[in-house]
Amino acid sequence: MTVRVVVAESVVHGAGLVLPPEGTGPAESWFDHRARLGRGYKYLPPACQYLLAAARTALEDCGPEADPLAAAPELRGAVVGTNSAVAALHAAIDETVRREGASALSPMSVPYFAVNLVAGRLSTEHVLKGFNLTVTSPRVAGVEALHLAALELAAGRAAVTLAGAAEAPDPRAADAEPEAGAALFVLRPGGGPVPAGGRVLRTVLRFVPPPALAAAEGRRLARDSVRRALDALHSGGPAPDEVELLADPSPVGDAVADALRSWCADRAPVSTRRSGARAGALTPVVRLAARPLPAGAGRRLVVTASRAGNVALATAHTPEHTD
Amino acid sequence: MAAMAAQTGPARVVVTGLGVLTPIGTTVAGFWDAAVRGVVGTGPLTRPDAADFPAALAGEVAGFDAPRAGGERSLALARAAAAAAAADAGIHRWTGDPYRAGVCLGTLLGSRAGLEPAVTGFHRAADAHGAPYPGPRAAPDLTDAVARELGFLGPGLAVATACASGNSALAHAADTIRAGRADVMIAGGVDELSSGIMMMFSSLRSLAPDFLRPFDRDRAGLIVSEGAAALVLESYEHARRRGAHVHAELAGWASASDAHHMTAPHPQGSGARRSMLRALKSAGISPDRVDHVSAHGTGTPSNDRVEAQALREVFGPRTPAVTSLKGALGHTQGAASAIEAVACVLALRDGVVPPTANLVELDPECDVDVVRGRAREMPVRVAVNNAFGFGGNTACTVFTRPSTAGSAR
Repeated sequence: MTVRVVVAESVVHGAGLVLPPEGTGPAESWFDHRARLGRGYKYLPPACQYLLAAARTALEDCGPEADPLAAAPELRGAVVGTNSAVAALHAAIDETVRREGASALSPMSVPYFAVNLVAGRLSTEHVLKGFNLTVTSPRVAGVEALHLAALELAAGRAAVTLAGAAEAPDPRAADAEPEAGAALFVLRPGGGPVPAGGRVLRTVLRFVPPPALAAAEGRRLARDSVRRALDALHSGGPAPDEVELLADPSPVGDAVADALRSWCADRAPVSTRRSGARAGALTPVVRLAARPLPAGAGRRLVVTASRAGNVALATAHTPEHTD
Repeated sequence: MAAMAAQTGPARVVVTGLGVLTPIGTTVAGFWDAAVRGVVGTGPLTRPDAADFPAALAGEVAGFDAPRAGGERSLALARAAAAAAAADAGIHRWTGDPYRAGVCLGTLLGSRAGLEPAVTGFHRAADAHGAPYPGPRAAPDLTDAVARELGFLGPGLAVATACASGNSALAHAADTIRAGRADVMIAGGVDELSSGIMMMFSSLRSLAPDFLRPFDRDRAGLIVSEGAAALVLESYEHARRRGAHVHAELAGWASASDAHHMTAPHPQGSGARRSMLRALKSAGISPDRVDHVSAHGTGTPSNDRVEAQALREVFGPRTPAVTSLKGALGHTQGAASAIEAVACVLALRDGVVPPTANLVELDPECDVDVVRGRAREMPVRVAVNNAFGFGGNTACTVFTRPSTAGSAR
């Protein structure tokens, strides 16, 4: 059986992170939309507010001389991954209908019932007319967004794309992870010049069917799939200096952890962060955006797995020679 | 299989399997027969589990006995459509390279709709006791469930572009094949009826009081429906090697963003126009070769007016034969453009364009060649499928007959 692996590559020109201060509780208020965005953003879902703030930071991060949105609007795209960007809005709408009736709903907020409007607002804000896509795969949607953005850039359908993740879990959901905020990159096609402070992103997506893991053959196939993805991701480049595994406690998480540790055995230690079953799509993107990267041309490898079978592998590194 | 020209360059994408579940039919044959006869599938809600729906009218997939609770209905609709499409393509259990076969489904709400009763119940309990609720389930279960059932391990993606989701899924699946990342993809869309989506359209004053009347002078909004459709897409070479019957070629596709307003289309239909032109360019087909357009045609005043304007700008004053199946189906949300893609393939096959049900008097502001009254028999060599959604998402697909596919590119 041939396991063919598609590696998508893009160049980060700017990154924006909007995250709650360390120690903030899940229901605690931490983001001042008026201070970060100005007037006119009050009725947006929090995840959308975070995303718009992250976009401003990412565009500023491109540098004072850069004009990251100089491309024609038709050559600018947006791809956003999320698992729960509008979960709190769903709950709030339900509560309003229950207490006051549907007539009390705000037409400003209601359209965001459809999750794609979060990215839609990003496109409207920055006149990104090329394409706009929202993906929602459990836990990996953020990296999936980076992967799809790189493929769209490689296909020539955009010169620049804003891609990343945003989350804002419903604070009343019993098993919601306290994951809130946004991480967004300004991406240009892979193979292009890397600006000072920029980085190269490489991504691979895999699927490990959970039922197959009950049998030895399924576990072997899963291990091979992850190892081949890791080989492809590092093809022609050095081994990673930092390895982070973000997985839930599930057979898929265990299988990916085993494969990753075995591949990394003589390469680098694996730092593992286990999450609840319903963690969002944000943390993997945050880890790819976090500074500093390993010194020199070192690579950070971030592997994400969800119990549903989705697996995303991504590296971030800064070439020794940049523009 | 139909004769096709030898492949050169990037992989050509062909359609080898179809599956639909709609308010007017739950088999491809039944659906198409009803569509051509202009049968209307919307009406008073009859499902016993719909007491909390804030609308009296809907399009239900009658006789499809899957529960709403637990998110099972969307899953069941998606599985059934995919299974039908796979069977039509001669795929029962995948024996090829599993990593070369994938799934891409579009959905507006995913499985969320089916969890409403439980979520509402928990909210009420929380009001009374301060207890938290388990939260909604994510949409991508749909894609994984279909992939697992068929034994596919390749690319899997759930896309959300509101009412354009079906076409977006087709576009991404086709991209995956054209770029050589997969040989076979099952692609389509699914959504079920939900209190939430009806509440959203009701709050925006977008629900019709009686019928969905695309392009009609008296159109007054849409009726929410449910459904699912799946198409088996393959590279032409792969289909040829396994001797599959080719229904049509998915010759071109494109998406764009209005970047204008959260719920209103761009007043000049710029995203719609750009999607159509890009999709035709991707197919290598000039607008004057298009015979039929399956319109988004939601029956809302602004959408139909803007779409008609965009059609005139792309095709000129003598537009192709335009129809909107939403008059018959209602608005099946994320499934709509996937169902309409199936209709495009069948229009190519049979040389017939279904009528736009419920259209009585064409709005002068929608001055395009809308098929009404009864189906129009005509040669259909190239069909364009439009889909436009909230948030400014637009996506178009272009289908051609398999026998003309070689020269179409």
